[in-house]
Amino acid sequence: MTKNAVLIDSRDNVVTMTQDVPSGARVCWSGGEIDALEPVMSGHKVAIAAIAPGEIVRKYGHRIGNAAGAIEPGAWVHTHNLARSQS
Amino acid sequence: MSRFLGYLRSDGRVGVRNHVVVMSSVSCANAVVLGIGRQVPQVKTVTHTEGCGRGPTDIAISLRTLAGVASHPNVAAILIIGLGCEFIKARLVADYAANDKRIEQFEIQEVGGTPKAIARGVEIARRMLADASKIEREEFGFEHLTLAMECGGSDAMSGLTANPSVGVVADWLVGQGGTVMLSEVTEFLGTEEILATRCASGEVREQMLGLLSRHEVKVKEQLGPLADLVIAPGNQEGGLSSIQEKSLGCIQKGGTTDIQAVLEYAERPTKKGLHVMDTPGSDIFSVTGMFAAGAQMMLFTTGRGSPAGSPLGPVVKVASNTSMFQRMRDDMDFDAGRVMAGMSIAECGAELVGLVGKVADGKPTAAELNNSDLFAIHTVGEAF
Repeated sequence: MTKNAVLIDSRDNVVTMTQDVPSGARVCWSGGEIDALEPVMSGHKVAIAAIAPGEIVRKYGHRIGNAAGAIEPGAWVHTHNLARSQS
Repeated sequence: MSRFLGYLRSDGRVGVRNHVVVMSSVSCANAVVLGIGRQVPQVKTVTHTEGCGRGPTDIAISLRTLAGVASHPNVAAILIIGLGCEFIKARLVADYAANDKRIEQFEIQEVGGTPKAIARGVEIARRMLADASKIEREEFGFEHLTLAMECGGSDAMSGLTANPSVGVVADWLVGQGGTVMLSEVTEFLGTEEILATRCASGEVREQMLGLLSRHEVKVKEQLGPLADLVIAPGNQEGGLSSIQEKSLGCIQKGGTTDIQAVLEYAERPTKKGLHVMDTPGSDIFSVTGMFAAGAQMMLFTTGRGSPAGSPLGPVVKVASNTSMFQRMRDDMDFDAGRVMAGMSIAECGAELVGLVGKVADGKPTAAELNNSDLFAIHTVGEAF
């Protein structure tokens, strides 16, 4: 299937969409795929693993924030479920 | 690919272009510079708003920048034109640039006004062009190359496709023994913890963190107390969830190697490897500062589509998405948007390394073909 998401670093637990997808659509990146649990727009992130509350959300191999609650694989990850990291 | 064809200069540095430049030392001389450029279109003209009526900090920045142009490895010869009563005299720039035979200068007041100054400048410029055409390219290793990394008109894909691909080039060049410059420090905010672990020494770490905290204070003063925590609504709509995510996307352009030194605006590096320069995020100021510091080439990522180039050297435009690449084809050099369709960042970066070699050898960039010769000197204080 054509790729519609990018995994930037192998340590990441999110991928970034390069196309809009509706709920239930297949999210495909180089190295894996998963079903989107909700609609996700291009440029936005999808969890590719279960992320526990407080756990680090990782993109570019680094922390971009911590999970504000439990995030299921396939869920949209954005400001609603990502706590700002304290730096 | 381990070598490129460049021009050896008397100070041992190597150019990837062989420009003859006509430059004003003060804005009052701009009309003469542009007048010479109209009659001798083969020269690169450099005009700006500085040279007089500024405080000591700004005078120092302007002088360093103009001297950086005069001594630039891509410049075969330069004619500097002053007015005569200004603070930054043409002679001062020539002296600061460690005056060698490629630099000539005169003042408009001394030669008797604008038409006479243009006539004299045209004669000198033609002679400089004839002499420059005799210099031939020779082979050099990439340790002689300094690449500046820039982003402008970014979009949601910039940090995903173009910036990481440019980061691959940065790591490759550092591996070759070359030099990389990363700037636009306001766009690093939120990545302090990460950058602190990537400094080559404790001294560099202190400089880096000091620089970031100065920029944070400046941003707070200008934008209010929450400026370091919030990101623009447009960024959020595009999918960026935190300042860390946004800034991480920006610093991808520098690759993954350690930061060897922190540079002032337009300060020439004395080491090899990755450098961070203190510039504003505003594109043309940042581009000018890094070229004036001696970068011979620039990789410039853009999502919305920036046409910006420099009179000092080739600017390679790396498009973050294929649709803009096609829509603005005449301003773009490379399509990193292919990463969106499944091309790996490693593969995209490797292809970009190949293009860097070709451009170093002389392949013109879109901005060069469009004569997009933009130049603006950064200032920090008031004009008087």
